[in-house]
Amino acid sequence: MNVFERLQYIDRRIMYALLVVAIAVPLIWRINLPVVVTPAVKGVYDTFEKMPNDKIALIVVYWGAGTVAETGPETSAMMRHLFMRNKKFALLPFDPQGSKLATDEAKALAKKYGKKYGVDWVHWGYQPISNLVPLLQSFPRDIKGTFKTDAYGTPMNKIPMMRNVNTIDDIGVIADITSSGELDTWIAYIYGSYRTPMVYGPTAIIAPEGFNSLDAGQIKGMLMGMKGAAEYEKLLNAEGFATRAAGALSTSHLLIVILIIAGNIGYISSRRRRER
Amino acid sequence: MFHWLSDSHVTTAVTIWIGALGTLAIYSILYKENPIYRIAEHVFIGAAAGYGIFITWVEMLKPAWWDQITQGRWYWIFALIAGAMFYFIYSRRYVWISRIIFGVLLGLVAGGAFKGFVGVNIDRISASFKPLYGKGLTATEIANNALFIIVLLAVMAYFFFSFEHKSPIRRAPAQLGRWCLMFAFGAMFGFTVMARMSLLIGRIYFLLHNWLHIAQ
Repeated sequence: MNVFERLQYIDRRIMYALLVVAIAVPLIWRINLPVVVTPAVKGVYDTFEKMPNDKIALIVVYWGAGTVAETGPETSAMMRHLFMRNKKFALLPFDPQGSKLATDEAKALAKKYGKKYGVDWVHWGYQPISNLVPLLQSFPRDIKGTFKTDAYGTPMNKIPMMRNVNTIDDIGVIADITSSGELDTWIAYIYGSYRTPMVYGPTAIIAPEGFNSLDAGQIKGMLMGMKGAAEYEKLLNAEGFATRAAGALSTSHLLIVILIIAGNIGYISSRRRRER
Repeated sequence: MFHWLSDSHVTTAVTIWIGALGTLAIYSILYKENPIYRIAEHVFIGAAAGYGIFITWVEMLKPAWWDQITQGRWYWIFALIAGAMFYFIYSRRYVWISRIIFGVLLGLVAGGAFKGFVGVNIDRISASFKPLYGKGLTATEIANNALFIIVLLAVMAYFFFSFEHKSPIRRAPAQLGRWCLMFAFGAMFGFTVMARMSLLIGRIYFLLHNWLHIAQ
C-alpha cells in the first residue's frame, strides 16, 4: 500500500484530533475572516427594525442544552437587538432547558442595557410542546386569558408592559427559535390566520426546511444556525460568541474538505492499482 | 462550616468543572466505548429528565392546574380524569375507555392538520407562480424566476410515475430533476455538517473559555 492509498485509511481518532486543533486554534488566536450578510438574515433585522414601538415581539424558545451553541447566539442576538432599539419582548419557551438558558441570557443582557423585567421584557412561562396547538388557537384572541400569570406567578394585569397587550394585534413580530420542525404549525395557525410577521431561527440542520416559507413570504427572514447569528451580530455591530466562532466554523469546514479530497485520492489510487 | 457553598464564585466554579468533566467524559466515546462515557450519558439523561419534570410542575401544572383546584375551581379535576383515560390502553378489559380520549384527540389533530395544510401550502403554491415578464422586473430576476420554474417542473417530472420515462422527451426532464434533487440534498447535507461543527465549536469554546480561560 503506497502513501496515497493510505489516505483512505486514516484512523478516525487522528481525524478527531485534527478537528479539535482546527477548531481550537481560531478560538484562541482570532482569525478575522469576512462575514457576508445574506438577504435572509437582513430580513430578520429589518423586520425587528420596522416593528412599531407600541407593539411587543414574541420570542419563542424551543431549544435546549443540546443545540445551545447555535440557537443560543440566535436568541441572544435578537434580544440584544430589541434592547438596543428600546423595544419590548416576551419569552415563550416550549423547552424547560431553553427556558432557563434564555432567561439567564435575557437577565444578563437586561443588566448590560439597563432594562427592567416587566417593563422591557417578560417571561410568559414555560409551556409543554404538547400544548402548542391549543395555545395557538387560544392566545391570539386573549393573551391574558391564556397566560394568566408570568413565569414567576405575577398576574399578567400587574405587569406594566402587558397592560396594553391583549390580542395578537398587539404583537409586532413572532420569532420562532427552534431545534425542531414546528414552524409549519405556527404558520398554519398564526401567519395563515392573522398575518403577523414571523422570523425564523432554526439550527442549521433544519434550516433548509425554512426556505419554502421564506420564498413564499410566510417568514420575513431566517438565521441559519451559528453562521446566521454571526451575520446578525455584524448587522448589530455587536460582536458575540457567534462572530468568534465563525473563524472556527471556516477552518473546520476546510479540514473536512481536505479530508474528503484525501480520501478520494486514496480511493482512486487503489482502484488504479487494482485495474493494473 | 458549609458557608462557602453559598458563595456564588464557588458554585460557578463547581458548575464549570462539572460541565467540563462531563463534556470530556461524553467525548471519550470518540476514542472508544468506555464506562466513563456511559456514566456521563446516564447522568445527563437523568438530570435532564428530572429537571423537565420539576419545571413542568413548577411552571405549568402547579399554576395552571393544581392552584386552580385548590382555589375552588374543582372542575379542573376533569383534566386529570381525561389524562388518566389514556393509561387504560394498558388494560385489555378497559381499553375502550382509552379509545374515547384517543378518538377525541385524533379528531382534534385531524381538524388541525386540515387547517394546517391549507394555511401552509396555499401561500407556497401561489409563490411558485413566478412572473417571467412585467414592469419593474430586472434581467437577473427574470433569469432567476425562469431557473426556478425549470427546476420545479424538472423535479415534478422526476416524481411523475404514471408512465415509464422511455422516450427522451420524458426522460431528459426527469434526469434533470434527479440532478437538481442531488444538488439540493448535497446542500442540505452541507447544512447538517455545519450544524454538527457548530455544536462541537460550542463545547470546545466552553472548555477553552469558561474552564481553561485561554480563549477570549
